[in-house]
Amino acid sequence: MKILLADQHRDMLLMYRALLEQRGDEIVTAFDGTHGELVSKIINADIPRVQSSQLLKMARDRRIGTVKMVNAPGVSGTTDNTEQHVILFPFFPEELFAKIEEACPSGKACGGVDDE
Amino acid sequence: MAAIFVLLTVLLGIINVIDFTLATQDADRLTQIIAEGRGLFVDNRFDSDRIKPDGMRGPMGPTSPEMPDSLRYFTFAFGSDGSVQTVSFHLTAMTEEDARQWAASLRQENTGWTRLSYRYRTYERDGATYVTVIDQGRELISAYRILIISAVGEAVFLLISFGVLIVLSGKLLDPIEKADRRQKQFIAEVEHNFKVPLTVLNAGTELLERQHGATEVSRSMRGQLRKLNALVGDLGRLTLLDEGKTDRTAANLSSLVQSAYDQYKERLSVLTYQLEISSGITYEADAAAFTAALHELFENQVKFGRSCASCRLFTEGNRILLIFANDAALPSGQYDQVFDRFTRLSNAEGIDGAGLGLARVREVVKAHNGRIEASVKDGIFTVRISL
Repeated sequence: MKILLADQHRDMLLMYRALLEQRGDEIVTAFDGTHGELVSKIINADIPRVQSSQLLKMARDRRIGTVKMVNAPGVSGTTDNTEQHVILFPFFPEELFAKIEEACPSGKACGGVDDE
Repeated sequence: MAAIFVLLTVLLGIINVIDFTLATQDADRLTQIIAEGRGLFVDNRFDSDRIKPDGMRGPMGPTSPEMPDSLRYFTFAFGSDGSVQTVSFHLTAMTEEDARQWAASLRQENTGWTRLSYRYRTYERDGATYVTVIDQGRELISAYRILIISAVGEAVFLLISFGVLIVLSGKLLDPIEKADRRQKQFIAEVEHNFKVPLTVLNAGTELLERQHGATEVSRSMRGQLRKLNALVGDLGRLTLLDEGKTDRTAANLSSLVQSAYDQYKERLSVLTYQLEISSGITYEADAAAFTAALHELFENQVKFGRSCASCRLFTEGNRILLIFANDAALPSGQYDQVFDRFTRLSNAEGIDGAGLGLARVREVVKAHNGRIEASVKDGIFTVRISL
């Protein structure tokens, strides 16, 4: 599976890149959605700059599975109803893996984006 | 404030009752004098026990020597043959005929007040029924003045007290509110700033285990990380409740309690358990938050129950009551401090937990306009929620 990991925390990218690569996934990392070059590798579009929220929408429009990593989900542990696959900080690796499987059952392209 | 108001009202009430009682006693003394004078207020009828001619002093202080002439009264004698005789008539506010009719209406009575400010007495003399009525208007004016002054004084006192209370309460409560705000802010910041580092540590531990194999050390780290994750999760949920974020809709509490119990049924089976849920109890509730609170309460029973526990949901009047109980090695008393954050009771030693579960339950109950209290009686720890 090709996975784009976008997060502003380098340590997060370091750890989860290593873990996901161990699973055999092809990982592209970005500190934020403005790394259009990296983004374009996933969504096959020429996009110079894009914020994480726009990236998520573009991915969904192209039917690319996304997992949104959030800090404060909302009222009672639920999130905005338009979000399908969301994982709350702090989480364990197996929880993220499960979310990725849930969001990307086709195994084609998937993105994990920190929406902080 | 309520206690002071009640005390002041009782005190002023007693003063006014005494005042009116004395006024009544004074009036009765005068009517008694007139009765003994067979309807006449004659000064040579006074004896030394009542009024001394030189000083005109009575039991309640000096009496004016002008009183026999200034007193307004009348007396009529009603014979058994139906005759009516005017014994005395010293009123100017009505005719003698009107007074006679008034006296006739009082023949069957004994003594009392009539027409607000007149005191009367009926008595038998020489085979006739005498009715004496005296005017006590001036004396009662004084009593009424005291009543009005005490009522107005109490109202003014209350207004001033409220004003002082409002001014002072802000200053007194301000430090407490600031401390509470700081604590909540701290918890929110801890919760926020711990999340990503914890996630990184979770991933790092997993990575090390995959690279080098799981060891006792790595397993111990995982265990501690799970506790930290749970703690940060609890803090996060508390923060949301502090912000008052609930999503209340019509919820079937009976179903929520049953569902929560079903998830803990197996773990609670080690206890002698009594479950009583009245059906069809609904309430405007945030189902998710309420369910989380129920889970905390059942979890508490799993952790701290020794041999028996119970859960009851029922209505009492217009209130919904939810009562959790389990035996506990604690002395009897009120234990509301158990709802404070990071507070654990003496029986929690050696049992996992950060002391946030019941704090969260209280926040959920408060967010639902309910009340919660905890107590121990005869070795039974009870959490009582009232909605």
